[in-house]
Amino acid sequence: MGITIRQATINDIQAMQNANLHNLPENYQLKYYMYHILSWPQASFVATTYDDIVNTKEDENDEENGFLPVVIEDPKGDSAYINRGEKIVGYVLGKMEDDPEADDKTPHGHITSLSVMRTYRRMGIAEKLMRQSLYAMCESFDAQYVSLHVRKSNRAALHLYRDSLNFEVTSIEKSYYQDGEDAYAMRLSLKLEELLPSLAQKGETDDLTKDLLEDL
Amino acid sequence: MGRDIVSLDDLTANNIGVFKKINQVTLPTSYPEQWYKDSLKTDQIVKLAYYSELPVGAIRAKTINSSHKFGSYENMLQQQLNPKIVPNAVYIEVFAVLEAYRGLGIGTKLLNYLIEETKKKFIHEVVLHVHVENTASLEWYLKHGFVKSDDILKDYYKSQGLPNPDAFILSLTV
Amino acid sequence: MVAKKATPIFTSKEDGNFHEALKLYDAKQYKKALKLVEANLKKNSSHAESLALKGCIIQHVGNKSEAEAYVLKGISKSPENYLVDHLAGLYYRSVENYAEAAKWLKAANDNGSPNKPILRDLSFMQTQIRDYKNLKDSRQQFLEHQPGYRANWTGVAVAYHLNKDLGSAVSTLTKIEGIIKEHLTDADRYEQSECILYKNLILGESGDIAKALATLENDKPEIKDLLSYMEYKAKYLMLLDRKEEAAVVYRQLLQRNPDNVSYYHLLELSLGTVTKPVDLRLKLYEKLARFYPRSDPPKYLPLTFTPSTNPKFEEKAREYIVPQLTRGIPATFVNVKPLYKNPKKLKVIEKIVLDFYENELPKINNPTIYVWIKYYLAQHYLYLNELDKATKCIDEALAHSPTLVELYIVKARIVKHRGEFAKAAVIMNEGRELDLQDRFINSKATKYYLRANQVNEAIDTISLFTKLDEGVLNGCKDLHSMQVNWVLVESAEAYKRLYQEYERKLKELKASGEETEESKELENELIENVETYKGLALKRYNAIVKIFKIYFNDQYDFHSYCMRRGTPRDYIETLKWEDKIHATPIYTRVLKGLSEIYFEIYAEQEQKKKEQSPSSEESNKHKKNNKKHKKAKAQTNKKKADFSARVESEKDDEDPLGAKLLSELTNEEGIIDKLFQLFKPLADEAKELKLTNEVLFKLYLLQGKYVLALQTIKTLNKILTTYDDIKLRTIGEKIVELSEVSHNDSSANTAIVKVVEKGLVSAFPEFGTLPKEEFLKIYSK
Repeated sequence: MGITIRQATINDIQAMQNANLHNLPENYQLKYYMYHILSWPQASFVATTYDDIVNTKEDENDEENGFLPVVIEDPKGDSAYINRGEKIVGYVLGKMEDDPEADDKTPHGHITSLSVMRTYRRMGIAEKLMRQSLYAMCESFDAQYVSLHVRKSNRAALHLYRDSLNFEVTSIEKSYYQDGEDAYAMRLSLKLEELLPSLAQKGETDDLTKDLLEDL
Repeated sequence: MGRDIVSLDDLTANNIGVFKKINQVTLPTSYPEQWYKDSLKTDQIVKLAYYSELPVGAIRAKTINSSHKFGSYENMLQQQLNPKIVPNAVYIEVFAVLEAYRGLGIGTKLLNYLIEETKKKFIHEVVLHVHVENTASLEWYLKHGFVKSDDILKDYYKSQGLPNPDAFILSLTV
Repeated sequence: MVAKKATPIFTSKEDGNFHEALKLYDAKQYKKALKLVEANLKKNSSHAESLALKGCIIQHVGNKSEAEAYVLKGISKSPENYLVDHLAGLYYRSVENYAEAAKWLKAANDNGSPNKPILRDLSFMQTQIRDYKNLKDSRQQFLEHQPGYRANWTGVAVAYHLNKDLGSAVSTLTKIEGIIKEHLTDADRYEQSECILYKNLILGESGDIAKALATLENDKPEIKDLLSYMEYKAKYLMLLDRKEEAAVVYRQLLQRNPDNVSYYHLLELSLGTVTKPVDLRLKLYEKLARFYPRSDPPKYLPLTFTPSTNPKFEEKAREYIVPQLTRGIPATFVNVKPLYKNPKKLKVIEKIVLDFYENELPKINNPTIYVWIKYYLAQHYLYLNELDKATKCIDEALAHSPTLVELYIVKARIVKHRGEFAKAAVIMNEGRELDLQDRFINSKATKYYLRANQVNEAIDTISLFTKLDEGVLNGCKDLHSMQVNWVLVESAEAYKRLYQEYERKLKELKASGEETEESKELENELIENVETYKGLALKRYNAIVKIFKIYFNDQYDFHSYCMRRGTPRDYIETLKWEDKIHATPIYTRVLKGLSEIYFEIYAEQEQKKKEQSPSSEESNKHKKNNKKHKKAKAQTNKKKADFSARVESEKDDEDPLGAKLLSELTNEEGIIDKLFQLFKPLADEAKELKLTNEVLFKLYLLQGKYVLALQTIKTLNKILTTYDDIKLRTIGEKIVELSEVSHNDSSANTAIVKVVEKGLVSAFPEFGTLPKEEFLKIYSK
């Protein structure tokens, strides 16, 4: 699909802000993204396209494509792009609870924001982003659980958290959102050994010892 | 995704455009803006139907007293039930499924929902009008247990400009 | 700020008052402090400390424009008084002039201030202005003052790292690791892990990979970020040519994240399969797909390396595309689009989709699949620029499933492609109305309105998702404070198109030669519209320039925070990122737009200069016009106030229409210098952009800096094409232009002109041997 998922870096935050502003009503200034990346660098992930990386590289070796030499244009002036052909289409912005007033002192994570561009939905990108973030929060920050809020009317998100990721609704927060809508407060307990993202795919297991090329 | 391919969901202020669109392309009638706003009121029975997460059908009904006759479609729309009169029937105002999505059980699901809601109100009759030339619909209703009354409502759809504006009256006992 | 501790006896009443005032200032009791300071100055108008403090105070509570004068006066009276220096430093920090702030904080320290935290503040300023050389000293001195905090050690290591003194950076980090080892609590574990990885990163950079790897393994029990651990390890193993071991680590990394395409590339590099036969690679990916059945790369990557002539390509492409179509994945087309760069692969894919449509679809009892195929084909034909076919497909899809929002997006795109922007916006808005909760489709509708120059409709649309404070008409201010750059830049461009349209109409009117009362009125109206929209375009562009100043200043707090938090690796990345921030897409797009307006205004100014001398009549006429203009203005005042309220970028915006911005540009000298200042950051940060070099070329020509202009041509020639032998028209034209302009410039130094000519000939030999016309014929691509 030309979509790749990787940890977010500071170079991504402008495009993450852009995606957030395109998709969601809850927005943040850039400094808040900086704060996330510089406080919990392991906890946020992005989904990007990779148009050019693959093609220029693979096809140059490919004799059949007599590619014409091209005139290079500047990258598009579109804030979704990080590099030529590399566009952010989804992100998860994660953090650890750092409010000194918080009642619960056990280390736990929180999903500040998650969104995928509408034109890239139904591919499981949001779920994959979440699994990466959950794993990292648990591994690097010893998060015992992770919490988040969902709009009551957001069926797709509710389905993702409850059905795909096994979150539980802990409470309903009245008028949580600025427009007055209620939120479900949801939570998931984290156990590192169950969280390895590839486990969710239920594929064969790579035992890491056999020679990959041996029986080909 | 493991979910039923046909599902129902509430009408909200945010998806009311879908309701309009479905009506626009399937029904001969156009409804005023206020009618759509009223659809969000709680005394209405309203539901949208989804196929593979795509909105494809809608139903809207209200309670009436069947001894009151409606002479015309407009009349029907504007009719507000006098609160003193006890309703004894549920009247289907809109029942629409996009053409390409018929025969997939979507209408049945909507109708079942309506029947359940009707029972909850301790009402035992569902009624509606069908344009006399709309044989496909007529057959569908008859297949689902509706009974055609012998009366024909003259000129019911006159203001819609239909060639033969008469309507059948159908009812279902639940 | 704390004053000297051991000063029980003051030398004068003034000093006593001053220290009292200083305490009040620190406690933010500005009014009281001001009273004391003013009493001081009444008695002794040249009391330097009081002057400086007064400057600082009125920066908070008085007439800001006078603040600096007091500070400067204080400095001039007593430049070596460390209290004055310190106050000057604080003043400049508060106005975000970090260079001056650094200068005066440094002076305070050099002049013997006992206040050590100055050093820490100084180190923040020095980082902010990238004075890494002096940063090292201040971080080091502060560490000596407070060695008990790990953050101070990290700060020193970072300073060494930034000075490329990798050895000292590593030894600093190693030293504190040793000191702190016995005292670590659970709460320190994360910081410890990050600092260890930071040390390892620097070790890796220093080139001793074997040592870096050994240290990494040795430190492993301390590392909590195992993703970094594995990525570092794999990289080191590759660099050490221990590929088999590297392959195992990449396999582990895939278990963590089977959706990261780079791991597949790296795995193949470590396995050495990239140059192996395609069939072997295909089998490898089949295996990987069994391990990770829900990941995309093992299914997609084979399509990139399998030649279209290999029958496996069609098979794999079908396996890839058909399930996506049947599952109704909106991005199916976008997913395979990269393969379209190869026309033969495009043909195969087209065949697969059409085949499926004709032969398989009729057997499937799910109407949505029909729609998704039509949706795919519409995009496919749009890509091929077969707009009629594309329209037919999308219309069929819409007739079938008119409630599917995605269809409206593609339909609008096709219509936009035909140049019918207003119609495209209507269609996008129709889609939006189906799902008012989805901001994505709202954003699309907003964008399409902007493309159709319907700024009001656009802002009204997006305002459904912005914060609306009480009493505001729309979300315009919120768009500014939430840094919604994409809307701001699209608005600027819409305003720009609008004023250009009015300029065109104005020109037509003037060309018609009509001189009736009516035409005068129309002319005034057109002139006013040109001014309004040109001002607004400048205003929106400038808003983004301002936002990027905020983005740059945002790093300030992190110079301190990241040391305490213990995230030096990402902090270093942040500094590098800020150093390139002006090269990012939106900013360069803004500068492109601004440069066009600036050049346009400059041309008008030049034109005016030419016209002005002979005909004073013309300017008289203009005045008369203006008078009338004013009268008309009064009539439309109310309308204008409403309009202004809708476009305000902040509360109580002093220049809502950008009229001030515009008049400063048009009426003042030096617009070219101003543009040059704007492009200065790009000249450093975005050397490789066409835009940078093209604008700089124009500027250098106007400034008579011909050698620099020559340099930009050479750079452009290098960056515009992958192969040097494409002879581009734009290059040829610039060569000729430079040669002609420099020769015709009577004030130019002839030696320079010769150097330029020589440089042109040696870089572009045909220019020396061919006549101009012939030369341009060659440079015509």
